Amino acid sequence: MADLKILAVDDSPTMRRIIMNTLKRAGFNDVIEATDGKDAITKLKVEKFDFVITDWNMPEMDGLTFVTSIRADPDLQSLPILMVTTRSVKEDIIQAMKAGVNNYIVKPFTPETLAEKINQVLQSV
Amino acid sequence: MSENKTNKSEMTGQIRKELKELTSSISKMMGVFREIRKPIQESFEKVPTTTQHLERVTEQTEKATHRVLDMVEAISNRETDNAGWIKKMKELIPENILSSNGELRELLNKVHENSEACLNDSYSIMDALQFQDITSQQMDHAITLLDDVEDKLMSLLGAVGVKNEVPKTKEDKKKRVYDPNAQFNVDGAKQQDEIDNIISNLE
Repeated sequence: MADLKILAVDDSPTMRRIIMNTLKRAGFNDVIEATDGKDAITKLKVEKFDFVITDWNMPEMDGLTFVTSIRADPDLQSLPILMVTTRSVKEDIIQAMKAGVNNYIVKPFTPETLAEKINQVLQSV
Repeated sequence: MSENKTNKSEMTGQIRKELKELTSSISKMMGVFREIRKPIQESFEKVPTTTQHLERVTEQTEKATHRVLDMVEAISNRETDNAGWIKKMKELIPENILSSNGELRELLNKVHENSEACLNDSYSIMDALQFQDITSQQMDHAITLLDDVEDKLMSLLGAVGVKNEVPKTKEDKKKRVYDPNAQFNVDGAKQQDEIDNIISNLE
């Protein structure tokens, strides 16, 4: 599990740093950052990742469009995706799940929740 | 004939009276326009300054958050080292010395516990710093609302005859992406339980 290569996508430098730190504490040391969906797609095209953690509200390409793009790409469609966002409205959660996220976390999250959801997703795929 | 003349004269008088009232009303209206023009203009001019202030709050909060993160990371790294060193010390001190010296064992355990507690507290501080992302989204929402106010004030000024500099188009304005409902929920676990319930009902 610690060998997992994770792509953490968030436009907030603060959130990227907190997610990186939290993942490191949970034993995930191979984490690469992306600033939005567009940047993430570019990174996914050149490197192989095992897991994606993405925010929703981002410039250039938002999280929902990013997830839809991944699910439409034959090379990436099976990639596990965890959405980490401030959006807690029921309709948003349904929309994200329909777009293809494997699980959903609302900010502010606890390190325990992040680790638990990563494990749940890995067990379900 | 003279009756017709009288009617005509009365009508002319009436029209004159109404024209006079109309002129007076227009004059009053112009006065009102002149009066409201200034406060609208002032409010319009204050919007960019307010926007800049809000942007500065976001920038400074972000900088300060990163400074806190620098320090918290340094503390947690040191405490991780400390916890490891204490563990190593316990291993290095022969068991017979620790058994015969209860105070030394107790001290080592206390230092270890303190170190672990400091480490956990530093992690909690780091987790709490997620507030910065949430407040910056709230600021972006406020700035977007101010942008709308600015557009409306500009339309009003145009309607009262004040021509301003070329209005900013949507392309000129910084693209802001945010959740208008973003909030720092202290009871994050409860909120996550609600999300999990929604997801499990979908499955």
